[in-house]
Amino acid sequence: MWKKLPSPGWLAFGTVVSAGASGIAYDKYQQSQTRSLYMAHVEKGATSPLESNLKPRKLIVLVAPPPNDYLDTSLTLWRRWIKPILYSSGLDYEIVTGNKQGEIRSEVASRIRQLRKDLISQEQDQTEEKSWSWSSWFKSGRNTAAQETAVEEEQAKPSPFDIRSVLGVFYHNEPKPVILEDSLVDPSVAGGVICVGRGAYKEYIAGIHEGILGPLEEPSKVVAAASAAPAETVSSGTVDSETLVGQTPLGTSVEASPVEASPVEVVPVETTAAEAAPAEAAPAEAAPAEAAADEDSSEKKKDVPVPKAYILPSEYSNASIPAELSKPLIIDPKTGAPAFFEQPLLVVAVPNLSGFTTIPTRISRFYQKRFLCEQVSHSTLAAVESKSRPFTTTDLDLGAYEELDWPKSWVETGKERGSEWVQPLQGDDRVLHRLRVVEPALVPSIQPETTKENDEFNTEKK
Amino acid sequence: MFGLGGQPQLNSQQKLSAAEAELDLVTDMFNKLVDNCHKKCIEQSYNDGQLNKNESTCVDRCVAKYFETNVKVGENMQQLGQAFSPGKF
Repeated sequence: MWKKLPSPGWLAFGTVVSAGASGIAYDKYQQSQTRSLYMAHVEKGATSPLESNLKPRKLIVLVAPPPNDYLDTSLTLWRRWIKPILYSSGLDYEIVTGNKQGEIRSEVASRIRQLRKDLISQEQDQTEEKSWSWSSWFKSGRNTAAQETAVEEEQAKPSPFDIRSVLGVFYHNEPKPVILEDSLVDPSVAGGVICVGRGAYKEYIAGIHEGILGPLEEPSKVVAAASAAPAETVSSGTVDSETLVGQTPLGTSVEASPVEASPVEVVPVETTAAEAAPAEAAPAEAAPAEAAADEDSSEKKKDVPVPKAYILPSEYSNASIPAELSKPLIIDPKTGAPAFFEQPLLVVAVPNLSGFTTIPTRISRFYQKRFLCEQVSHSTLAAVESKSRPFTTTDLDLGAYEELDWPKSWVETGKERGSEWVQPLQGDDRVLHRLRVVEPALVPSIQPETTKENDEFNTEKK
Repeated sequence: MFGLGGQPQLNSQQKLSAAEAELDLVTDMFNKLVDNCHKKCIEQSYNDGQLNKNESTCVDRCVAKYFETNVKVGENMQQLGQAFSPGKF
């Protein structure tokens, strides 16, 4: 009967191929099982009813590419393991991507500066309402009654043509004000921030400090750097500022050189919610001179530098917390929810090895992705359930093990150029004590336990 | 529209027809929007009378994308019109 078998060579070939293929198949099967398990666990969130004037809880997801690699690598991890759980839990998310170093930082910092401006204008409105004096009342006292009726008459006059008065939905229903769910729940469980990648986390922390401790207006050195004469494009390839997924690998950016191309880039922001889409995609930051405007049209397709930080980490201790951010809990005036930096933070590291000598490690990692999937899914579940704790200084090392994967040559080039990602992460306690961190250890594992008692084949009975 | 600098003077009849046309446009867009987003977003099983969170966010996104598409297509059409017949617009 042994003559029916193929030759030893073919047998060896078949063994190797089928072992390889079955390893991949098993790993993928386990990943999909894990995914289905976690999705089924959080399903009730998505199928719970929501009133038409409420908006669900919203997360911000910051995605940065791993060093020397494409944004797609991080986005694949996000799409395969994190996004399904978020979708099944019914909460909304907004994605901020950065192709180059510093993009996420500048986006985060600009949002905080915008928040500060909103808070300042809110306080000004409140003080204007309060500043009411007897003299002003006496001056307008006689005429208030006549003025009020005149104003009322003007308001009572029908506007020339309002579609909402004849269109079906609003004909009978008064439009209710839109409320965010985040504004109704306890602040420690509202919203959330997910950083996919150690680089994204570093830029997030840097961005928060820049926004809170830094100045509101552009300091002169940033303006000078932005309006300097255009230099040759440095990074590899051309970057279309409109593309959302990077077409070029992340190189170390030349932050130290003072001479850079002029116009400030439109940060590629991918949003999935209604109100964010038009506002954020539109305006570029104000480039100072007309020279910038002239070059803008010709350089739209070329590399545009990331705006420099308004404040450096070494200056954090000298800076002071601004008055508008001195309250213990900061509520965003536009949404009514806590500011995004007060929301629980989750850091998901993106392990990504490259190189020739690392091939055995890469092969073993490739066949063991299911464990990484389980870990990432568990962390995401903790983020969905908002199991968080206050930030401690050791949390600056969240996801630091990803830096072990970073290519040495890339890190060394970065250190020479003074790039952002290779700097040790510095934080100021005054800012960091506001943060909250998602703690996966607070969430028990939902994988089915196979204990010795349940195991049918176990002969040792206790 | 008339190629002149100032706003065109419309008498009440023209204003009325302009308003009617605008109403038609908006109603048409609204109906199409509701149909499309209902087909795409709302599950046909109808277990519950209220919208759940997924459907709610789906509808939000659907409306946002519809309007953005509308605006972009409109801009492109305008540019096409200007490119081919600069005199007409």
